[in-house]
Amino acid sequence: MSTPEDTSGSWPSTAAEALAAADAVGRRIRSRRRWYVVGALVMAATLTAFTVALASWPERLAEVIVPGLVVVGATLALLAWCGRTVPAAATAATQRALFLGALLLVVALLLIRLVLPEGFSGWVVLVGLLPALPFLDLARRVSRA
Amino acid sequence: MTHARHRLDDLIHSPVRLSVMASLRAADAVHFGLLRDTLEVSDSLLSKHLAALESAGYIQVTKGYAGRRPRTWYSLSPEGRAAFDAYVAALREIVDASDSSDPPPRSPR
Repeated sequence: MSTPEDTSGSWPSTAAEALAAADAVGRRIRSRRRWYVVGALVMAATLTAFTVALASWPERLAEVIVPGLVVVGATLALLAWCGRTVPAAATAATQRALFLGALLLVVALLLIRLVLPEGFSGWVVLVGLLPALPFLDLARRVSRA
Repeated sequence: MTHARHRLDDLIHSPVRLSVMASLRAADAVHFGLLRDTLEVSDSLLSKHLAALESAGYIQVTKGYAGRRPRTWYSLSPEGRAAFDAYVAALREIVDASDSSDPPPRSPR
């Protein structure tokens, strides 16, 4: 790149190249964020599906719980991998989402067990969304950061 | 009127430092390894440029741990953010001025 005092004719095209290079680097850094958001969204969807399936088809616990735990475990591993490249504040936000998600999962399971009628219903889906809320919020905040 | 090139910050006006500033502008904080891999530079070269930006007050350094590994995070300071935005604005002005001064293409007869 030429210096500010360089007044040669190539300067405008160099300025354009510098802008393009800066944009490209910014895009590369921002693209890391995408995986983090995807991880949070997968976690939200998995938790909802897991809660609804557990409430609606308890007799298929073995069929549901094993693949559910595998997906949740894989997603957690993905989030942990992403955690290598996010700042401490984002790691703290992830841990907060995990804690709140676990807490809301317990609340959702208690509601389903004690309050809601047995079997699949719209209420089960709504309650199933509860543990997903912290991850949806996390994805929203990270995508806007 | 002063040409926009006079507003270009000499400190940012280096390919590596411009890339560092652009990287940090795109995130709240970026750790050393990610910066090095993204910019495809050596540790020593990156350290040298980061030290220059830090001594100018353009970046802030946070040391911490990711698991057991020590990790150093870099982020733009408010001054650095303002300097980078002004630098990019000056670059855009130069490019726009160049575009508008280009002669229009001649129409075929």
